[in-house]
Amino acid sequence: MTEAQRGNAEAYRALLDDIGPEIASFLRARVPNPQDVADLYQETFLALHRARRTYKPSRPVEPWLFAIAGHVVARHMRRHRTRMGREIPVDLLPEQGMEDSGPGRLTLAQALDHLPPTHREAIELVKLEGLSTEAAAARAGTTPGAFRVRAHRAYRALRQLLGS
Amino acid sequence: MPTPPSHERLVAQLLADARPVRPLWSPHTRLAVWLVLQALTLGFAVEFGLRQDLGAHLRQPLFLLEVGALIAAGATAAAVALRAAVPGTGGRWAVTLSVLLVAAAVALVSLEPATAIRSVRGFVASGAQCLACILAFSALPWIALFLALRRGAPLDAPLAGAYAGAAAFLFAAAAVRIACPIDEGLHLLTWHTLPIAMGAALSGIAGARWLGRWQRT
Repeated sequence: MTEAQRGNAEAYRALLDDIGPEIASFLRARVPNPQDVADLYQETFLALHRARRTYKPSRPVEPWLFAIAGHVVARHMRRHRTRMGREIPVDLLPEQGMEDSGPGRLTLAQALDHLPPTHREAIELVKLEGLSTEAAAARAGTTPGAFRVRAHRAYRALRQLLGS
Repeated sequence: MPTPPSHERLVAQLLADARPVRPLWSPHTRLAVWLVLQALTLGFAVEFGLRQDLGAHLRQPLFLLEVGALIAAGATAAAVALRAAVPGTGGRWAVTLSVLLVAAAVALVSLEPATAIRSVRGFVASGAQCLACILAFSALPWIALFLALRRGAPLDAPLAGAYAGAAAFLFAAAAVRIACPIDEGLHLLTWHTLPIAMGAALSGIAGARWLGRWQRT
């Protein structure tokens, strides 16, 4: 670690390769989910990299290392508990999302068909493809200012169609 | 035990940023430097304080114990804060000791005789002066300690921040206790002791905001 603090990349690699299995074992003993272990492994390595100046050469590396790893695990547990406290588990998931079908979507599709092609294109570029005004204007072959006006008129027409 | 598949990529990423770093001074050395700064603050309070009878007060055991407890609690709180910035450095004894010393300081201050407040305006005016002095005395040492903590890696950032605030405000309270000519119990508790708790709380909030940045991915 002392060499790593001096910027010796080879020594640093040797250290990271050496502590890798120990860290992995430490995390697996405390966190059941393998995906979480992979994430925490990365977090621990990044944390010890950022904290490397705090290692004192005269002291053993393990207490320093596992204090950081333990803290990363504790923080993960806190986040996990908070998330679980907020989420409401459901027994059955809906079979089909509203995005694919349903009355709302059908009405929107019909309304879009009733719009003039330039208005439909404006809505599709911005709302469906998620382009910025500038990018959508370039695609539609017009200026951003003119595209904004076109999109505004398209929204108004669509609102009227959906409201009627 | 095998490492996760991301190990090689992760190591390569860290090695790309493996520039030399200067190890931190030990917590003891940094504490010593900070205490020198605080000694200057106390010296300033002795030299320019409003108390005319300081010599006589220095012979009173209660006064000496009060100031001594505040200074000892401040030094211990600073030691805890600096140790908290180095992962794997234990020191629960220091945490317990600092809490006990703060409790002792508050208990000693509450032993001062409490007299009836003659005018609320006067009570607030003199208190505001002491509060302003505590803020002034604590500002520079707090900034110095906070920056020292930022160079480290505090695992519990709010707690490290709170201890830094407590340390700076305890020393400032000691300095103002030396300088302030009012020995009335309620004045001391309200305007000398309460700011310590407020300073620690605010510093804890600042710690949560700025001392935990090193661990954010």
